[in-house]
Amino acid sequence: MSAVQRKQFAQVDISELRRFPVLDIQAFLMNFRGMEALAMDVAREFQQSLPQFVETLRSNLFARDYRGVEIAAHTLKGAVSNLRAERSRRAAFELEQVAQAKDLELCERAFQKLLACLEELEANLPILLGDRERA
Amino acid sequence: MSHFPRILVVDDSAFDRHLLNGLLTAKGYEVVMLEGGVGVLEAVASLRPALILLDMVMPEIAGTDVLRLLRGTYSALELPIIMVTAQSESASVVEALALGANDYIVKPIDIEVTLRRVATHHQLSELSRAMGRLREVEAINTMIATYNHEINNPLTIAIWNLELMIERCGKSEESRRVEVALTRIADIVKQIRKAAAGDELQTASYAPRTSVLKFK
Repeated sequence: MSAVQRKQFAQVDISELRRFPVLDIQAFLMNFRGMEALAMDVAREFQQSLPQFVETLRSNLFARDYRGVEIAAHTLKGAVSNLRAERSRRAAFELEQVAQAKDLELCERAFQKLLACLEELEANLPILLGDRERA
Repeated sequence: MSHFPRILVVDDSAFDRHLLNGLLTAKGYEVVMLEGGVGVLEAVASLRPALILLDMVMPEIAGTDVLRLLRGTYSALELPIIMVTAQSESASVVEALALGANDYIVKPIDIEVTLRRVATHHQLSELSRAMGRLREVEAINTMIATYNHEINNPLTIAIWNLELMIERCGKSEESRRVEVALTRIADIVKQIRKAAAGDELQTASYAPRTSVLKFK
């Protein structure tokens, strides 16, 4: 089962984010050149941390803790940026910003967009991990 | 200079802590971590890190507030602090630099840049400490030269007058004690001069922030 668990009924349009890469594997590995084991360790750590990232966002949003949503989105933004997952980074940044406006509807919409991006990212992580481990 | 400087990572994100810990440990640093800024002063006092990597945005205390706290106790030369920020936080970066942050790194973390900045600021801090020690030695040498001059003149007069007194009144227990004391002073002055000339000064701790020169 996906760690992200997006609401299936939500219609989410992420077309404006499609021009950004889900996961730039080459850029990620280039950053860790000479430290491939650490790169894989970091990618696996993110894979394991993703459900917790999502749960923290979801519970803060449910409690209408907008400051909590902002901080959690900011933290996730930092994590996905280190993975070179630009599409998710943009979506997290949008959620971080709308949380400042304390508008529940905007926050929920941005959260759904972020979940859609994270689903794609999660689906791509095995490519990164699998390719490197086979190599 | 320590071969394995201790770096304190203060970051609320477990993932970022994991990344920085892995990165710095792989390069030989000893890494200690805090999940936030609460208790940072106590942690720094007990852990005595050589450098801090400090996240800018944290839930309980903002990175800039943690920085303000730390700079109330430690100067930028004593304890280098590198802020870890997002691309969109240029205003906060300016504030942090004004508050005494030594530098900043931006997420996504560029590994080469991060390692270079950590190494550079640690080296600068070590050099500053070494320069402080050199200034201390220079000050001691100046003080010794001054004391030598100031002690030698009255000492010569005292010895000369003691010899005159012995010639006139003969040796006594009192004159013998004065002679021993003056000879000891003369001997110490010689040792100080010799040690200062050969950079062989040895010091011992005497009281907090106070050292004394050691003599045979």
